[in-house]
Parts: sequence; C-alpha cells; structure tokens
Amino acid sequence: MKDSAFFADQLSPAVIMTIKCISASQTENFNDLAALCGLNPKTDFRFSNLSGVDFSGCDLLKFDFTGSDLRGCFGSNVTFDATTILQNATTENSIFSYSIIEEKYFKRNPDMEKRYNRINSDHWANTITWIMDNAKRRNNSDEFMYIARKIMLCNKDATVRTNAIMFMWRVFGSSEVHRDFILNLLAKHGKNRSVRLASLKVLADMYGGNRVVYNILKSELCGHDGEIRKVALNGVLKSGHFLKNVSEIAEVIAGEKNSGLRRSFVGRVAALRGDNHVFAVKERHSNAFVDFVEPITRSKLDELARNYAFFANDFGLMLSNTLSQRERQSRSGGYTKIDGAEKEVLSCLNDLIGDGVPFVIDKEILDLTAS
Amino acid sequence: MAPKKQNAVPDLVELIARLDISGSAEQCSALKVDLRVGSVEIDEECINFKVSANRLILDINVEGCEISPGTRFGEPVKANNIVIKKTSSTEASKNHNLRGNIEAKIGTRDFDPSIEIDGGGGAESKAMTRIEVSEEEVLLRVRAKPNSRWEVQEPDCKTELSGTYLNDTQLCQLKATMAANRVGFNAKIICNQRDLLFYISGGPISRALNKSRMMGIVVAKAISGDQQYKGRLVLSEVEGEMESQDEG
Repeated sequence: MKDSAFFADQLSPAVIMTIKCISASQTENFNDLAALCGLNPKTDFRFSNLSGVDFSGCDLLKFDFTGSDLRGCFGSNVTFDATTILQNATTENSIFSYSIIEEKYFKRNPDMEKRYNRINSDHWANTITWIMDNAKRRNNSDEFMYIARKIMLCNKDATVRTNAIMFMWRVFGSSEVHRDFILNLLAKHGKNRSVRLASLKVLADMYGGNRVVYNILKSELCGHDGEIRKVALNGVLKSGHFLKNVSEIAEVIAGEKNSGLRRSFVGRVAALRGDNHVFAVKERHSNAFVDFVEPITRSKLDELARNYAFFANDFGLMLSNTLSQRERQSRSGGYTKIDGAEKEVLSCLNDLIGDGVPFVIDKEILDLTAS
Repeated sequence: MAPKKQNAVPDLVELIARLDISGSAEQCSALKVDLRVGSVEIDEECINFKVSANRLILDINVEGCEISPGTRFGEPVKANNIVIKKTSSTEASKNHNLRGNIEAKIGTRDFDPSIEIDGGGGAESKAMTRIEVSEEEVLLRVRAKPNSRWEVQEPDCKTELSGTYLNDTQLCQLKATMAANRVGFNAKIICNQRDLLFYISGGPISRALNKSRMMGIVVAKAISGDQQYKGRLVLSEVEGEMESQDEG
C-alpha cells in the first residue's frame, strides 16, 4: 500500500498560505520575512541554507545559525554579537567570517584582550599613531593585527576607524581577510555614515570584482545619500560583474537624479561595446558622455555625429561617407535621410538601448530610419 | 514481525530496511536496505517550486546486537602503503676562465719579459628534489561514516540526489550480543535543511533570494511534521526486529 498521497496534498493550507504571503510580500528584510513566516530564531535557522542572503538592517541577536550555510551573506547595518550562534556554520566570504577568526584568537590569547583594552581606551590620536607606526614596523605580528582590527571594529571614535581603514591593508596577511574585515565593519557599523563611506570606498577600489562586494555596492545604488551612491556606482561600473548585469543596473540607474552618475553609466556600457560606441556617445566640449534623459532629437544626433567624426578621425578610424561640414550646413533646413556618421551613431545608440540604456530617440529620426 | 516504516515524504525519500537471517552465520543477520530518492513539486496558483536533496544521512541504531566488524557497506579502507616517488635532479654548470697573456719586450736597454696568466674557474650546481605522493581516492555515493552512519551524496557534493542508491543491499551484518532479549534496529534518513534543494520557477519571487531561502525553511519545517523542528528532518524511519528462533 502506498504511504501517502502526493506531496502537494501533504502540505497544510496554512503552509501554502504562508508561502503565498511571502511571495506577495513587499519586504525583502530578513527579520520581517522571518516574522511573517512565524519562524523561531532560536531553533528554525539551525542547519539552514542561507547562502547569499542579504541581512541589511537586520537584528540577528540570539539567532541560532548552528551548522548553517552562510556563505556569501552580506548586508549593512547588521546587528550581531556573541549571542548570535555561528557554531559549525560555513561562513566563507560573508559578513560573519571575520568575527569567527577574531573570537578564536582572543579566546586563545586573553592577555591580548587586556592590551587591546588599554590601546583602545587611549586618546584617538594616540590610537591612530599606534596603528600607523605598527603597521609599518610589525606587519607580520599576529598580536598587532588582531588588536588593530579589533580597534577598527570597536573603537567609538569615527575618525580612528575611517582614517585607519585606508591603510589597514598593510597589516593583513591576505586580501581575503582584509575584505572580510571591511565587510564586517560595514555590517556592524554601517549606520555611521563616515565609516560606511570609507568602507565602501575601499571595497569599491580594491574588491569590486568580488561578488559579495558587488552585491553590496549594487544595493547602495538605491539609497538616499548621493555621495554614497556615487561611490557605489563607481565600484559597480568598475566591477567585472557589471558585464553580466547591465540591464539590472540600468533599471536602478533609470531613476537616478545625479546627471554625472547617469553619464558614467552610459560611458561604461559604451566602453563594453567598443571604441565606436564610446565615440558615438561622447560629447566633445565637455568630454563627458551623453545623459540618457536628454532626448535624441535631430539636432542632438547631428551634434553626436560631428563628435563621432571628430573622435573617430582622431583615432584613425575609417568612416564610411561621413558628411562634410558644408554638406551639413546645406541641410540646415532639415535632412531627408539618415546616412554617414548619423547612421553609425544611431546604430550605436540602438545597440546601447538593447543593452539597457534608456535613450529616448525622437520620433522624427525613427520615421526617417524606417523610411 | 514486519518492519514498521514511516516515510515523511515518500516521493522524496523511500527507505525500506529488513533483517535477513538466511545465509548469515550463526547469531548474525544481514541488515538489508532499499533507498530511493526523488524530488517533489508544488504547483500552486502563483508559485511553482521543486524540492530535492543533495545529501542524506542514513542513521542506524541497533538494540541487542552490534555491527559485525568489516561488514559495513561503502567502507573503503585507506591504503596503508603510500607510494612516495622521489625524483632528484641535479643541474650542474661549470665555468672555467683561463686567460693567458705573454708580453715580452726585447730591447737593447731593457729586457722586461713579463708573463701574465690569469686562471679563473667557477662551478655552480643546483640540486632539486621533487617528491610526489600518489594515493588513489575512491568516490562513493553511499559512504560509511563513524557512529553507525552512512552518508549519501553525489561525488561532486552539489548535484541533487536522484534514483536508487541501495537496492536490497546488505548495509552491514548484525551480531546478537549475549543474553539479549530482543534484537532490533532503527534506521532513519536524516537531512539538514541546508541539504534540501529548493528551486522556485517563474515569477518575481524566483529572483528574490531572501524570500526563496525563507520559503525553503518553511517547507522544511512543514515536512518535519509534528517534530520539534531544529533544522534537521527525519525524512524516513524504519524499525524492525529479528524474529526469535524459539517462536513458532
């Protein structure tokens, strides 16, 4: 005799309802979703698969993640401490990685804890000087590394943390540990704007190629702070992961208010396509890229074509049938067909639209192209 | 007595276990096991998802008996001999520099014969030793682990489990201990939530990782049924005992 019916019939209506609620929910916040599902932080997250989860803005105090897969977890403004159980959890490349290493070290060396307390409670300038001096002299000392890192994490003075983080890389044995340290700093102290900005800058400059860092920078693109958005976008555009996610970033950037950031985005997407596309969207007078919110009218296309001819010529590219200045002037009354450099620029713009850049091309030009 | 079996999600994991005394040595019986693994799908109005597993633990508890040594299935013994190949190569180069210079001036006023001979020689030698250790590793899908457990996993540790892994296979032999009133066993298939694979297809939810992970936990908790869920699920459980020879 069969044991039971199909699995779908085994799930209670309450479970199905919960799943539908999660699906329809507007929030992505881990705490909110856990509450929505009625999950118990002390038992339900043990041995669970939480790899890649975004813990931004979450309070993880008293959560039990025993044996869980937390690889690649990221987030900012994450609250966790010794009450967050990470025993036997897999935490590589996550915001938790560094905490585990540090906890083990200070457990093994209680004297270092005392030393740390003394340096950490000193005047902020002395603390920074101590870190700078020791970073140069004792870059192989475990003792220094752990004390300095803990100061960076726990010192109450923002100046100490933000200044020191920029040269802390000197003392880390590997870039992975340095990166994990910054991720941890960001997760724990992300509410502090100066720490957040400094951490993001270092991450964007040094570790933009890392997937977790890329995700963090991407999530910052939707924030309200223009300066942080700028740092994040620079990091995103420089990252190799951007190539695979152009349309995703395009969706976010479409609503961007800062013209400079929009132009940077256009330039980066064009650069992926090649020199022709860069020349097609580069403005000669400012050397900046075209802002996609500006409609591509007939006169704009003409200007872009002229820029294109200039840059391409300068670069030694052969252009087919580029219009001369005189021909262009003779068309001041309006041209009747799209050809030459205009055609090539338009083709480039269409390629970029296909990549997700929301250029708006004037109807008149579209009609001419169609004819 | 027929074994008592309980498969929480029969479409996902089916475990059958029995004791076979035929052909076994005296006081011994073979524990034979069937293990089939599949996947289950839910297709609701707005959501479609599939659940499968990539790692399972088969946990055996015995009563009134013990597992006979050397009878465990899937237990390759590590080779005692490890072959170490040592390759030594020596590169040697020698440079000899011999320069001769003979100068002789003969004149009336002076006679200054001088002979200059420089001899220089250099020898360099580099020695390299390369050690190669070769050891064969056997990849098994069902592998014996300590504490009477067997781990079921595909060799790459990622691929979902699918198919029949044990088909009336003798997992081990049980030997009754002296003066045991009852010889029985309890076999469980245990799965950690993290080893359950949860695929959501279609809709915006498939891209929302936080939601997807949370759903995975909700479904795992639902599968665990009445048990107090702590991240581990017992997907199947079979209990059986050896029939007494005196009976009947």
